[in-house]
Amino acid sequence: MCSPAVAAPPPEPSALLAALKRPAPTKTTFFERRQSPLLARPLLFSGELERPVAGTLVKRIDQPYVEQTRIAGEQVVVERAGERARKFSLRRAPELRALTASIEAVLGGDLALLEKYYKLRMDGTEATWTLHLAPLDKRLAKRVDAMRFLGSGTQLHCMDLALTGKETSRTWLGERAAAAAGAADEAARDALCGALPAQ
Amino acid sequence: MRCAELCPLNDSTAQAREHRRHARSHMSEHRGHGRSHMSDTIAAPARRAVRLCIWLVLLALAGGWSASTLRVSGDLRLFMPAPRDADQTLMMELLGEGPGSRLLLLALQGGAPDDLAERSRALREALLEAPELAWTGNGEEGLDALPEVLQDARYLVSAGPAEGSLAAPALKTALQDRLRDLASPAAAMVAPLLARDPTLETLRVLQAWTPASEPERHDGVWMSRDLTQALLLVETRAPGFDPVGQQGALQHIRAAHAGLAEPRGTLEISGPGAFAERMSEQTRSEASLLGMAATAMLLALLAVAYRSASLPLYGALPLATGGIAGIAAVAALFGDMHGITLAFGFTLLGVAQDYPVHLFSHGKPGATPLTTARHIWPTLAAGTGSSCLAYTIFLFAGVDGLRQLAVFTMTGLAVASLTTRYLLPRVLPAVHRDAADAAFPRWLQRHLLSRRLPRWPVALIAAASLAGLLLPQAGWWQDDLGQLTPVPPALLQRDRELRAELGAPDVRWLLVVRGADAEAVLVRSEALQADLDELVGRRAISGYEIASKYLPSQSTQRARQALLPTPEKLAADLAQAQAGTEFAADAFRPFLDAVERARTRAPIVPADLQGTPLQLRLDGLLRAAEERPRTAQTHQEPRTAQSHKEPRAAQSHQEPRAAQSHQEPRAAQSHQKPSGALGLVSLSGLDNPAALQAWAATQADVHLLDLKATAQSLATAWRARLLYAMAVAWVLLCIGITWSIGSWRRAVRVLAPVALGTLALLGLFHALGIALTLFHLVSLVLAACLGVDYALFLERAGSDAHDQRRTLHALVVCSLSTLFVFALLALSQLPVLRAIGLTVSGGVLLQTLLAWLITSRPTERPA
Repeated sequence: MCSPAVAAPPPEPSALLAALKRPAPTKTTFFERRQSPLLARPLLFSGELERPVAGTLVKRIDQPYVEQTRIAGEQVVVERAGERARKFSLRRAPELRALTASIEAVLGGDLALLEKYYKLRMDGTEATWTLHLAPLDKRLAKRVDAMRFLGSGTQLHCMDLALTGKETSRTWLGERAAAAAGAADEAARDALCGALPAQ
Repeated sequence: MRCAELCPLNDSTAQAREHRRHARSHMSEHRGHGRSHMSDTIAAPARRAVRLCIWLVLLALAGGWSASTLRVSGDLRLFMPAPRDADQTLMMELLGEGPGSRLLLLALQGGAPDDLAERSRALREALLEAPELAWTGNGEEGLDALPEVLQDARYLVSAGPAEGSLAAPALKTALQDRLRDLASPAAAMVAPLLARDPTLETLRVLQAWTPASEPERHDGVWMSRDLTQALLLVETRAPGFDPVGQQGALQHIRAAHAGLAEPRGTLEISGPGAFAERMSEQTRSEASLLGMAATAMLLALLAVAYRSASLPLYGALPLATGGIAGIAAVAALFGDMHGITLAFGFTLLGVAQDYPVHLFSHGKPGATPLTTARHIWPTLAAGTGSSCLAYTIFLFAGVDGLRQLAVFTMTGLAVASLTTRYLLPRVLPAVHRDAADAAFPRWLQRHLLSRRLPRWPVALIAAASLAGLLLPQAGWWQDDLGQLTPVPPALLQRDRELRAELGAPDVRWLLVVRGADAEAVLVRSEALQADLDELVGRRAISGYEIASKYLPSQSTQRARQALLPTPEKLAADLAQAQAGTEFAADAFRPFLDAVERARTRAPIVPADLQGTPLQLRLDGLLRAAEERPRTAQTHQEPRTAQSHKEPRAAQSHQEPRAAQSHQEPRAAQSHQKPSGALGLVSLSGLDNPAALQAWAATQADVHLLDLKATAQSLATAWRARLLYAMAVAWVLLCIGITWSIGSWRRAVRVLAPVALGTLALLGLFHALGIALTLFHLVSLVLAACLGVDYALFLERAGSDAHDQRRTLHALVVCSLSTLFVFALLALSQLPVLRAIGLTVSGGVLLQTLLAWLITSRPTERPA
């Protein structure tokens, strides 16, 4: 193909959100990499993300252990095999509320919700775009440095969460999750967040 | 100041004519000026206007200065006597500042339990940063509740390490758990803590702080047992007696609630601060309503009596000048003034409203106001002097608030009186109507003074008073201070319910632990905790708060230090626990450092907590001698019995109560107590004080303090002193009047109605079963002063028909106006206002009647 010399600009956030909208119930596999100054090597998990109804998110970790986190309304319930369920309120974890809201907004196509918590900025090209979210709330900013959604075309591939204190997490979604789990190294894994080179 | 509106430039030409007509008498007034009397009289209206303008401007300036200088304080301790014993001293300190009195109880209603819990969290979140509040709790204590210094010294504050939380097996489990925490969505909550505190010792400290008798919880949040209301506890920075501070806190809470997302249901606030706000609002609104009505009536009465609309306004000048002078004197001498002093002061200053009335009533065509003023001055001065003499009793009542009251009223009366003599006559328009010609004094004279009045009514009144006084009635005195501004029983009941649900501390009972210093108290407290836990087990109490729960004694901290592992041992154990995990090798460096710091640091002392949110809580529980400030200023202050002035002086600064400025009054206050330290154990769910008292009696250095009984003992002591002072004042008054009249026979005619009137009123109250309060006593003094004035003027009037009628005119106007104003107050729902109103209006009636019966003389030359 002879692609033009100048790449097409990234879509507008509103257009992007409209394209990414997935009405509930939806379900997708994920692969997450968690990095922290405390860790010599990153923690890796895989599992399933589910949005059974609008407003509810379930994150199920299958590997390397089993744990389910259910966020509904203001309530967070964490269940681990062999342990009593732990409950806490989203108020106690503002970053979690922001994170939940951002996923909810992206899957629900709700630009207003997203803009309630973040300042939005698009970057990249139509083929490989990044939606940058900068927290607006000061209390949130104390815990969250930034969030990013990465994808290509009308597909969302990755979610980044950068917490203060260099705690970071990257989550691969859908078919990219399986690919990321099998990737040879971190560079190859990270390349999976953008447009893949034509086969 | 818009002079044009205030100055009487509309003096009628009729009045100017009056001036010319009475030029002869003017001449005597202006003799010293060396000008012709004709030019004087012609220029008089303009000159009076200029004088009045200058007066008003000066008044406005002085008023402005006073208003900007004077701080109105709400510290009730100004109205408390100097404490005599240790319990009273402690009570004075605790009044409004004890652990219970700064607490507000919040209840959120309307909604399902889940919604209520969420609302409770939202409200707490909104209140976390409120500068007026020291602490907000709804059952969810965040990690941020633990001050930095305690977080750092957590291995000394927590019993964990002694129970093996730092040993190798515990470390291994802890690290596995932390790895999962790091992976969970809640990671950000624990990650900051993780490197420093992998065993979560901080959480253990917080858990130990949660009360033994926890309120019902739903979803982690305090709820009532029936789950219909979410409950929160708020601790204000301002003491309970500081109405301004409390109101600020209450407003902030209400605004925060109003800012919650819909549906927000209802918010109910209970506790001493909320009650104080409610009562003072009610008092203020009722007093201002009654005050406005009274002023309107007063002006109308004067306008009718003198057939002039402007004269009543002139009549307000001496009172206004006196009031502002009084405020200025208090501002200069004391710096601040209690709200009660101000209200009381203007009540007592009401006597001065009579001064211009005497001037107006005694005026006659042909005499300038200045001549009249000179004419009545001896009597007026005697009246003022005796009132001032009577008010000196407040100087010796041993109460700061009353001392201020004395300064205020004595200055005010003297200035009002001098103003009536020297200033008011120079701005008054000339008199063109003789009060002696008015109809009602004539009528009174004809019917009441045409012959010698019979003596039997006096004897009857005296006998009835004695009988009233001797009636076997319940009690003379109202000792329950709470009855003065009673909180509606329904609200109190509601407060009790909320308090029980929340396990909030009792406001009446406290355990006091005494020791040589803070350390001794903490050691003793630690030993007591086992006993107290047992008392909780036996349900004698449902819970308690004790300083050692938040801050272990130094000896306990040292014992824990001795058990902490050495750096080498801990590093080895940690390495073993860490093997095979994803954790970086040096990830827990901060943890190793923290344990080592705790192992080698000096134990935490109360001073280390200065400026932290915990300081306020601990200060309520531990009053240590070593917290005494070492500033030069405090050392210069002599430690007298009156040293309770000090906290007031420091506390009444109405500055923003930042964490820093809060230390100032606190520090100043700790200075006054005897050496040694006090631990206060607040108790909740106290059902059986006797059982607790019995237990406390078996403990050394511990006793159960009944704040209510102590407050009453203070009130009793103080009353005795006030009564004593009143007796002395009476003697002084008798001497003063006799000296000023120059004849003891005539003095008796003046003093007898006052004495009998006071006795009769007391007898009446006693017969009606009205228990007397401070407010009755103060009002009795006012009534007596009014009585002295009436009797003095009646006595002075003698038997001359014209003079008598003018005096009658003045007396009728005076007593009617006083009666109107105070009868209105007597209609109030509030016991304080009712007490003042009843006493003064009843007193004025009796005093007038008796002055008539005893002092007046039959007219010699009936007109």
